[in-house]
Amino acid sequence: MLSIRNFQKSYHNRLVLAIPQADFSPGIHWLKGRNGSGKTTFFRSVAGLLPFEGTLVLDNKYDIRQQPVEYRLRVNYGEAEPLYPQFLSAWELIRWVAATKQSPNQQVDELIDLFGIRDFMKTPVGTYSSGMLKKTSLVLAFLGKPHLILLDEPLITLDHATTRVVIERIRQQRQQGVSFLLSTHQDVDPTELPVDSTWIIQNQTLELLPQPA
Amino acid sequence: MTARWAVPEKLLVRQFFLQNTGLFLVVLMLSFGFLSSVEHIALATYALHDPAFLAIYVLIWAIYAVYALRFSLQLFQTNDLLQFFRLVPPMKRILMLYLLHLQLLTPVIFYAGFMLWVGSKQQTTLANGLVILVVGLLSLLPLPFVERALRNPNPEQFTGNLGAWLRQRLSTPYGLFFIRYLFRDQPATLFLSKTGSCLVMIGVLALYPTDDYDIRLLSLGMLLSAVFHAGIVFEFYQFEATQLLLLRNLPLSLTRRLLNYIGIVALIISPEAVLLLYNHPGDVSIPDVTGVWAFGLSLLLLQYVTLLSRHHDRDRFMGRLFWPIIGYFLLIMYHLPAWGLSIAGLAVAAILFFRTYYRSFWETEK
Repeated sequence: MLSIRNFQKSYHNRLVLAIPQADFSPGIHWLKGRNGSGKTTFFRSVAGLLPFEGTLVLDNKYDIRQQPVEYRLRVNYGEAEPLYPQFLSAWELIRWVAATKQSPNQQVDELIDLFGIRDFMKTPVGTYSSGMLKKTSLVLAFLGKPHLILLDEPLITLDHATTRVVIERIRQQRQQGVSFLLSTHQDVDPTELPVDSTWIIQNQTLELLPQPA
Repeated sequence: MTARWAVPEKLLVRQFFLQNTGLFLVVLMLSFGFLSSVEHIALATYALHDPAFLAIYVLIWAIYAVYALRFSLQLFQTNDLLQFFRLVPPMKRILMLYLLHLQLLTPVIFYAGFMLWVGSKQQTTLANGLVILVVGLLSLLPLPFVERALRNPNPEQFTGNLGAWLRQRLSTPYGLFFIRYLFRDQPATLFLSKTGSCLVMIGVLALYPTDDYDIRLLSLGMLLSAVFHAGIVFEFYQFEATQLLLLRNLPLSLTRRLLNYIGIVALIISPEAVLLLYNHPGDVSIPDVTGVWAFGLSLLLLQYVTLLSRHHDRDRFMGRLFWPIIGYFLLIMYHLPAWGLSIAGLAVAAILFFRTYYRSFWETEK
């Protein structure tokens, strides 16, 4: 599903991540790592938000450099700590992203109701609590017809009911062929969310953890 | 005292001057770009002898003080860290708040000091006393308001019935995101940049018929006008890189992105287009005037792609404009046509954009 070759990311000439090779098969993949290990940098690079050295290819077809539009049409990203212009409303952001991600009809309404943001979505983002902001970012992350969704700490700041909604939505989408890269410090019950592989970012690289027997 | 001082000093004073660097640069360009030191002394002398003129100075200082106070109040009402001030004993708290806000007033204090220096030479005792009194009152102005803000943290935001009504019915297109940001969060930078730029254009249009000038005068005016926009261009770059990062995840082709940027920049300098089209000299045709405006558009776009090519902080970015301005000045003086300069500028900007957009990113300070 996602192939990574010779990936390198540096800040101010300081190496943050070096991944010679990694292949993610279709499924749900959990990325672990300590604070500051480079998880968000990795997610942002895969989402096309940050420049890096190396190649990323989705579905053996869409190279992030050769097919930047096709790639971005199929890779969505939900930030750990989303930051949007304070004066815009969730509705304005959703409409804009839905239009560019070619979101199917009815999907916007369905996601708005699923995450329960209809009551506040037309007020400015600056008035939102962290949970409301997180719900907005999750709606944006599920818009369109993605093949891969990157969710950086998708469960933080959410109430219990919404946490259940997120997990259920990930399950549903997985059944429809969407893959996920998740990072979370919270323990996820494998019976609720079956994870196909677990990876760890440490020592400036990404390693596959052996699956428990 | 040191620890209790360091945090509010960083949050309030440094942030105020950092966020308003563009504003101060435009003010400096306006005041020291056109006036010599002798003229500054003459103006101060006149103000010290004429109560009405002195009142204008006082008004400007008061506007600045209110502007700084507004920034401070927003911070004190919304930043939870500053609520720790409530735990500081009242007298010490008032002293700290006074000293903090005195730093925000530094530009006024420096200019008032300059006026007092002029006044001491002119022996304008009454006017000097008035200047001291006004600055003293302005320095005390924030105290009751900040105390009130500390006692009423996180007030409910009321954005107005009209705003709420519009938000229910309208949605801002992407092309207007930054324009809304300018009006809402950077009104002073927007006002001063546009005022400076439009004054330059009005000036060159008024100067044109007074002698045997040609279109080069309009091009030089547009060059200076583009310099006035440097603060806005930096704000645009910063806004997209820090608050609208998800834009880079959207499936838009580079051509579409470039056209979006051209549209936004064109909107920013549209007042100059109106000025040129409605007031252009009789012997300069509409296509030539349009060429001058397109030259300005290319200059703003070049500034933007320069930031994409290599991240600079605001000061370094402003500093890097010097040699390109000299270069363009020479090209204009050597009779290169405005249309030629604009097409070449747009072409270079487009090439740089295509080469650097995906490689660019906002770098935090080392």
